Amino acid sequence: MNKGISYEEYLEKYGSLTYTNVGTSMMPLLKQGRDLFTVTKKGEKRCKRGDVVLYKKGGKYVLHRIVKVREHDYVIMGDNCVSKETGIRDIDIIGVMTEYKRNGKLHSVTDKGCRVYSYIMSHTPAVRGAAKKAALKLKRVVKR
Amino acid sequence: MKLNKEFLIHKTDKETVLVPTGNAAFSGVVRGNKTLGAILELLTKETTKEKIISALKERFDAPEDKIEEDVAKALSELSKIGALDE
Repeated sequence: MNKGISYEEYLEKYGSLTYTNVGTSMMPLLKQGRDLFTVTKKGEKRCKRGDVVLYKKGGKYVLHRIVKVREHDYVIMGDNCVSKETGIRDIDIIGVMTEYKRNGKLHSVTDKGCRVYSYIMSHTPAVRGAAKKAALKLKRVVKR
Repeated sequence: MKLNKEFLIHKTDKETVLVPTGNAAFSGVVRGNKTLGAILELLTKETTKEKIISALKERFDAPEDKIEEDVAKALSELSKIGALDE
């Protein structure tokens, strides 16, 4: 049991962390209560577009995908989110997802299917965001 | 007894990890060896302490009292974190 240690300390001690996500921001890749993800400690190298990273923002831990690599920071967005987050620096990133267990099946992020999915997700943030916003608007109109 | 559905098992070559979902009150990670992995697998179906001990005795070449001790300890720890439906 590892009570009372932070994710950072855990990764420092063991090198990798398998955990579960909370919320729907990484749907359909990760579903709360069903799926698991494994992150390994971030090294010196910068992350790549498409990487799913665990980072700390405002005291909270977030697992989202990098959609743009900039000189001093990253632009990050959850696969099921409408807006992007900016200003996430290398220092904020604790770990990088290496594999995930979806519906009981283990996948490596280097699997071909995962790479294709990652490419689509990281190259279409604007389209996805707009589509999601439109869908939410439509839902509100239908409800009235 | 059975493993609470808000806990997920993850096995690697080296170890077994038990992870709570966001709905569980416990928010840590339980890391264990093959014995814990076997106990957790058995707990995915309704079982008893006696049945677990019996299954492990068949599977592992270890002294009986050591297996009994390990099972009792594991069940006690799992119960403490709310991972068991008893």
